[in-house]
Amino acid sequence: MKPDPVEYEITDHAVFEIQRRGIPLDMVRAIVHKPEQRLMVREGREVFQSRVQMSGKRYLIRVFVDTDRAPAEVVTVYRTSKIDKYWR
Amino acid sequence: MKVTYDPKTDTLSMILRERTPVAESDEDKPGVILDYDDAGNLISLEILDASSRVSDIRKMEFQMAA
Repeated sequence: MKPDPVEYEITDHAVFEIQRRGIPLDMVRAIVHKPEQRLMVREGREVFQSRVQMSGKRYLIRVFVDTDRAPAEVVTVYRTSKIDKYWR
Repeated sequence: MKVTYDPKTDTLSMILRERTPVAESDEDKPGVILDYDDAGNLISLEILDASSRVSDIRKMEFQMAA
């Protein structure tokens, strides 16, 4: 697995979904810089994920990152309360 | 309803209810993200790697049944 990307781009589509899903951009950046977990989705794509507290509720933020390019690209992001489903 | 395909990220977004906040999301199957409002209603979905899942990604036909 490649090291955490130093340089990355948050795509316009990802920004759109981040805003629509009410996820703070700073939180996404922090997770990309230092995720609690990295999971391989397929060749060239990983999920960077961390557990967070939002509005008094525990969520898992899942950031989809294309790591097969420089800079890496954030494809989309979502939050879910089903932490156990995705945690490894 | 609004459908958008983003070629840069190869994602297809389908918004069923605009201007409705997403409370949280879940992946029904890997790469198929479902978005829900506070009441648990499905309000949008996002398909990753869309070009490999949807036939003719650049064409959409909408029909109203008679």
